[in-house]
Order: sequence, then structure tokens, then C-alpha cells
Amino acid sequence: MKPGKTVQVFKAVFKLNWHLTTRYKGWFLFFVLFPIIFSAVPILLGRAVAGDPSKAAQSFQQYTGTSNYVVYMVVGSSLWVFAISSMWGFGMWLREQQMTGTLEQLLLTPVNPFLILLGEEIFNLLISTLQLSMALLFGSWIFGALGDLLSLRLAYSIGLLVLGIIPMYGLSMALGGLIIRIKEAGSIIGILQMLMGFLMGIFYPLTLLPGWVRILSILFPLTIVNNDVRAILLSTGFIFSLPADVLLLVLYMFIYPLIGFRVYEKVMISLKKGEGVGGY
Amino acid sequence: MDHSIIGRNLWKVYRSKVKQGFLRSKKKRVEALKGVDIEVRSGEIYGLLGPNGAGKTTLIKILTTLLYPDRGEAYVNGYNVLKEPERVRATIGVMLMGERALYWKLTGRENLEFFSALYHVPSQIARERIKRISELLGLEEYIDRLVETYSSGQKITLSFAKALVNDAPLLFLDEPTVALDPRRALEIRNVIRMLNKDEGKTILLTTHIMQEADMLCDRVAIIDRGMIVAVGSPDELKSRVRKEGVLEVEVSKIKPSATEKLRGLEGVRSMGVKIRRDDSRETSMLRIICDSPRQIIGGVITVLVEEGAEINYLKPSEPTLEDVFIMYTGRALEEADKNEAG
Repeated sequence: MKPGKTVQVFKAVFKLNWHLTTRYKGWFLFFVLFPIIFSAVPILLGRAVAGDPSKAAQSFQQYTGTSNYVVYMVVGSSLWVFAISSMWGFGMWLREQQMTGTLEQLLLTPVNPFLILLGEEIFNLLISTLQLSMALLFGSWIFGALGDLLSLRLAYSIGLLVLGIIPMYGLSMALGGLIIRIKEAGSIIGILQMLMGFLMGIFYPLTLLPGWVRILSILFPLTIVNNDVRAILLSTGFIFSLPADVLLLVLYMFIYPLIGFRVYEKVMISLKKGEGVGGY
Repeated sequence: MDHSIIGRNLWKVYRSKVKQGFLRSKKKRVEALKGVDIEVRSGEIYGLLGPNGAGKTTLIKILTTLLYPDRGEAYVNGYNVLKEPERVRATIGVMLMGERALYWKLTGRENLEFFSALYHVPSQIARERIKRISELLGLEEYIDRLVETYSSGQKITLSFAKALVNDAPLLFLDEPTVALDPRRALEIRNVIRMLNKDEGKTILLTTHIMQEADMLCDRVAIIDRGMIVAVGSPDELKSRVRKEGVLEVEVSKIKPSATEKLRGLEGVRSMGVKIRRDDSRETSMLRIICDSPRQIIGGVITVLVEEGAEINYLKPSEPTLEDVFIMYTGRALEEADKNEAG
């Protein structure tokens, strides 16, 4: 396809999603507020249990290697919600299109469906990143740690996040495929987001997980990102070492999108051979 | 190109599981298409007439690349639907049944602009085309409102408009007037005719409304239980019944045993029953395809009187497409719809 036509498709998909996002304002707000409220629970609970904040920080340092529990929690919950938002956003998008019949309409156009999906994923990524940034900034500000967050090595962390995003979206494409096959988005996403939260170590270091669970957890790219962003910002430990972790993410960057495309393609072929992509 | 659509020996079987209790399920197999052959000439309006579940939508979905057939091959505008799906899609406009298929949180115009872009229509041309389509279909009043505020009929009209945004030479219209009020349905039929006569578009439409098929189509294929049982122009098809004869009988209080006896009468070829209900009573309209209405009239009256039915009127009738359907399938379209629903 000529570049001009590709741009036209991306532009149309962006415009569509912009309209849909701005006309469902509640969801946007939900993904900004949710990590802040979610991280408030352990932060306030920690303070309540440990008494004054300095004691909470001391005992927290014993387990995690940092006393800055506010940034630790806010980063963990924000990245978790970022993972949910991007996976949920894409999976739900596909399922909604299937349920409303618009997926069939998209497949009736001459555009390669992957191009439409890519446009959707890029838009979703931009929105999720905006929500992540807002959640991080507001969350840190509310709990009085904005200065810590901004003064630390934020640029490195963003670089690491970028590396983690691409394999994440590969996984989300596979998930999207499964959702339109099984035709049930809510339960799959519900289970997966809890599992992701557990494996990513939103509120605790990975060292607290049993050995085999820890191995399982690093198969998920955002576990590495979460752990290493904290390591960069708060000088806690890397999973292996920074170069080794980056190498692993680069490897995932090639493997997961391939898996995602393959799963999605297989699902579409099997649906077309069966009852079709439409319907509930 | 003589033919816009060619389909040969198309088969499609749906396999599903039917729940039987909490954990148990039974496999179900539905033969949606059983060796369908179809040829649609360029420039004609071709109607697929049949009850719900006859296989009309399945056939359309195969021809528009949304489904793979289990067996057989099909060409649309000269392109193989399995090997060149993107080329097929670039040269067709499709309206699938119902109000779905639209983004309800977008306005009508935003929907049409979005789909125009996916067909690579340059934006200036898209704007002009949308204006023209909007005038043609009378969308101007509501095109800039969110689709979620539309009535059912307005959504269906917008779906129809969507099928026109790429100005394709071949249109697939799946039940284009279903759920429209009679006036609106007539307007849409006029637009379909205009698109065919003035713009030379080939149109494949499905319908289960006899009059619509009769009014619009150059040729009609009667499809029932996954098979095309007859093809021809409406007049040709009706002339096949005209060689026989049709007796129309309106009765009240008819029992199933009476219809069985009527079907078994000598000289009766086939019979369809349509039930009409109003506030006070239920009447049945029988259309009896026979060798000669005069020869069977006595037997029909005897059976109905013996079975306690009240005859409202009885007369020989001109054949309709409904009679063609009855002749080939042994039941009225309405009965077939009920059986599928049941």
C-alpha cells in the first residue's frame, strides 16, 4: 500500500478513536484516578501500621532497599494500570467492535486489518501513556513526593518503559484474538489483570515471590520495567543487571509481537472458517 | 465482464455446541449452504428470496469475504474471494442486515467519513459524495447528530448510505428495507432501482418480502434450507405456476388435520398457509397450487366443512412469487420463517 494511503488509514483510525475517547470521558478519568486511589491503600495502611511516616519508611527499606515508599507504590500501581489500560483498551475495543457489528464492517473494507489494528494500538498507547504520566505526577504530588519523582533519573525510566511497551502490545494483540474467539472480555481481562498485578509486584519486591513464580513473572515485560524503573529511580535492585534486563526486553520486543500477530491471524482464520467474526 | 458474481458448489456447515445442563453439551451441525451455484449478470438486480435461516446471509458473507466456504469457489468482479479478498472488497459496497455496523458514538457524517477513508476515497471527493448520498437518501436532517439518537429506520438508512461511500460497481444489500416503515421502504426501493438503472450498478439483495423481490429484481433465486430451488425473472417464475393453477381460500377455525387432508387431495400439488390475526379472530389464508382450481374446488369445500372450518371466501387467483415459493418448498414463506424461529 502506498504511504499516502497508509497515512489516510491511520488518520481515520486516530480520528475515530479520538471521538470515541472524548465521548466516553469517564473511562479516561477512571484510568488516571484508579492508580492514585489504588496506591493510597498500601501507603496509608503502611503509615497506619507503622505509626509515623519515618518508621514506615524504615521498615519498608528493610524489604525493598528504599525508604521512598510513596514513589515505589505510585510507580508500581501506575505501571500496573498502564498495563491494564493498554491490554484492556485493545481487548475491549476489539470485543466491542465484534458485539456492535463494526468489526465485520472494518473487515469489509480493502484495508489490511492489521493496519487498522496497528493504528488502534498506537492511539491506545498514546492515551495510556498520557494517563500513566498524569497518574504518576498527580499521585506523587498528592502524597508529597513529586519532587522526588522529578529529580530522579526519570529519562532512563522512560527509555525502559518504551522498550517494554512493544512486547506488551504484542501480548495485547494475542489477548485481543483470544477475546474475540472466546467472546468474553470481562472475565479474561479480570483474571489477567489480577494475575499481572500479582506477578509485577505492584506493592512489593519480586524477591518476596517464590522462585518459580519469580521466573514466571519475568516472562511479562512490564514486570521487568516495573522492577527496573524502581531500581533506576530508587536504587533498589535490578532483576539480573541493567544490561541483561534491557537485553531481555529487546528479545521480547521481537518475540511477543510475532506471537501476537500469529495468534490473532489464526483466530481470524478459524472464525472465518467457522461461524464468522460477528455476533455475540 | 458478463457476470459480476459466480459461485460454484458452495457449501457451508456451522458446528456449534448446545448446552445440556451445567457441564454437558451436545454438538450441533447446521448445513447453511448445500452446494449453491449462483451467477449474477453485470448490471442486473438479483434477489435472493427465502425465509430466515435459508442461507441468504451466509451466502452474502462468503461472497463478501467475511466467511470461508467449506467447499466450492466464488468469483466477485472477476476476483477469487479466497485468493484475492482485498481486491474483492475494494470493488463492492456492502450493507449487512440491521442497525449494527455503525459507531453509535459518532455522528452519521463522521461514520461515512471514516468508512470513506478506509476505502481510500480522497477527502474532497468523500465530502462531495457524502453530500450527494445524504440528499439522495434524505439524511440531511440528522446526519450531524450522534447515531445513538437515531430511530431504527434512520440507522438502517445510514447503513445503506455507508454501502455507497466507495461508489462500488457491485452492491450487496442484506434485507435493505427490513424494519422500515412502508413509505421509507418504498423510497429505498426507488433509490435501489435508480442506482441500477441510472448508474449501472449490479445489485445482489436478499429479502423475504415477496413484493419487494417482485418489484425490484430482474431475476430472483428462491433459496430454502441452504439450496437454491428456482431461478428466473419474477414473470418466468410465476409463469411456472400459471401452467398449474392457484386457489385462494380464506377460512376461520381450521384444524391441522384439515390442512393435512387438503394436501392429500387429488390434483393438489402444494399448499401454503398464512395466519392472520386481528383483535377479534384468527383467519388462515390458504394458497393451493393445483392442476386446475375448478377440479379441486368441490373436494376442498367438502374437507373444510367436514373438519368444521368456516369458509370466508374462495376464488381462483393469479400466481405470485409466494406461490412459486410454495410450489418449490411445499410451504408458505411465513410458515418457513416460523419453523426456523421455532
